[in-house]
Amino acid sequence: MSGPRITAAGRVQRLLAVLQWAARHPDGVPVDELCQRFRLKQAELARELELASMIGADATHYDEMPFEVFIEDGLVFVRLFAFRRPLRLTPAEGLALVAAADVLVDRADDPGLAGPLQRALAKLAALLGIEPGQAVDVDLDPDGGEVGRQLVRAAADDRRVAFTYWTYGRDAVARREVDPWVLFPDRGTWYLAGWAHDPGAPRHFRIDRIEDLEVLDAPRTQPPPKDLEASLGVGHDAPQVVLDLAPNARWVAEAHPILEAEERADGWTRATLAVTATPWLERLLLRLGPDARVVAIDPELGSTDLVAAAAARVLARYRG
Amino acid sequence: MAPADKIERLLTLMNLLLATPRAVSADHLRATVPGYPADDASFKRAFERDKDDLREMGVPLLVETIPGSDPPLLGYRIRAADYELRDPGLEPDELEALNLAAAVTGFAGGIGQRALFKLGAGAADQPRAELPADPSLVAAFRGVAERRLLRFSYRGVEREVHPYRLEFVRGRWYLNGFDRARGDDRWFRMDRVEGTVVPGDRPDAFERPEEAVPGLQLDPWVLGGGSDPVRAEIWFDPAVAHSVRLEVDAAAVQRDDEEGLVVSLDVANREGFRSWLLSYLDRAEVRAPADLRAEVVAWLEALVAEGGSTL
Repeated sequence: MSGPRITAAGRVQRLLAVLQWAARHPDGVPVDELCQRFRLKQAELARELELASMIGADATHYDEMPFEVFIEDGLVFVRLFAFRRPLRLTPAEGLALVAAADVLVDRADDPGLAGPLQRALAKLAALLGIEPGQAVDVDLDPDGGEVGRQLVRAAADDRRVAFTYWTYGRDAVARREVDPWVLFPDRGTWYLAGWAHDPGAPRHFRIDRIEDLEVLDAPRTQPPPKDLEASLGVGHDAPQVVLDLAPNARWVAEAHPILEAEERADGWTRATLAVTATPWLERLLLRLGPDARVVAIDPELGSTDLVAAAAARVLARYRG
Repeated sequence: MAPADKIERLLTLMNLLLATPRAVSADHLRATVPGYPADDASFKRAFERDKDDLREMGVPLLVETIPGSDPPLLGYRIRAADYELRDPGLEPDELEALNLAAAVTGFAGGIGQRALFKLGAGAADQPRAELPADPSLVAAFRGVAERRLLRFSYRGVEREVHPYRLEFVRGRWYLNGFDRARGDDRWFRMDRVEGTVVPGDRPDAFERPEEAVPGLQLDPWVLGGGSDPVRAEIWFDPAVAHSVRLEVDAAAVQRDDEEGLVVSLDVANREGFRSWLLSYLDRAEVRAPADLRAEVVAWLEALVAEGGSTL
């Protein structure tokens, strides 16, 4: 299981689970089967069983020994004199199980899984005294869905992929060719990190915005770099804008990477932001309206009347 | 890995405390359970750690006056009825399904695996996706499951809440409950709770609502809005149709072809709506109702005028 970092409490619980499972088989349970069920190597299992047989061995009364354990002809025999029933669940354990089951209940497309899972969840809910589906609701995409699974396979097979994608920042739709590297979740959304052949640079893509995914016959030309995280950081050479933000617009600093911010006496904040593309900035300024003023802007992004020009362009849609 | 003598000591301790009909003193445990250090200070520390381990496992350790002790002395025992798991009666396929679920989603620290061991399942794979565990999440869940009043500070106000429901949406945990001070149901973001959540001593402290709690609504055109929504019709450029479809209910889609995507939404928060609409720049247009459309146009005209005046 989780390797060497098991706590004392975790190890006690695992040992009790092994013993209780074995005790349900009065005719013995094969060593191999126990090892497989609990993901233990034979030597590990032998050590745990040895430990169990020592409990109470030096006590004055024989009946203080809670377990009788012996191994014969590759079979494990266990009799329990105590600990016959498992320990009740803690609230943390109950929550962990209910949350895990709830994620899959909404997503399991396999009826062979959905049925038993639903019944299991109902029984757990009864045990914990909650209403099934009412007390805990977890909306989590555990792997990016079918598109996510295809991308993981393509990366494992060292294949290039192509897909249609709307780049929110630049407000452009295009067919992209990408060497997939890795999938990662952020705030409940999955992203693909990879090498984008146009423009020939590392990029992130939101999995749910990927359309018409195709795994190409071509192999990847850019394997994942060793230092994956550094290669995906926001470029410090990105053009910048300096904005004055009203107290109402403080969320901007929470939602976006701010290079510099200085709060002034009147409650307004002067903030410097790195901008990846002009439409991203236009959108932000259109939304903020009078709560933002452009103080200075890199010429490659536009001029200080950028927001007026963008507003005029959107207005044209209404007057057309 | 925890050393074997520690495991042996914990199991011996549990066995003794479960078997004893009356509370036993720490001194008695020290003399009977093998493996405790000899000097007083080290024993105290080791015994405290063992009690912490028992609590982590969920062992209900009773602390009570030892009958007949004079002067009264505190002792320990475990009541079997408190200790034992009530059999939920899971069939093998149901246990297998839970094992699969735990291999997909879980919290850090293998807590789901330990629950599965108690239920009689084997080892599961490490979960692929990890849920964030806000510090007070378990206390909040305890409040929901055992119907305990929760006390915590939120936005600088001390709250007393009857907790009804926990929801995990877009990467965050939210708690729904009845806020006694405000006299209203509301949602709390768990990562914004200030300090800790303290569950009340009394279980079954309130009745759950008869009607199911409506799910959390995070849509910007609804969130934080008034109670009098208007039905709006919005057109989107086909280029962004895929992204818009991800944001709205399938039932909201009125039309979806090469002419564009038309959706119908109940707008309760007009500012939130405008902000969301403008994130699509000129690839979106609100067509109805007329007053909502006029508001958006006026907003844009003001921005054009503002730009003109500074030139």
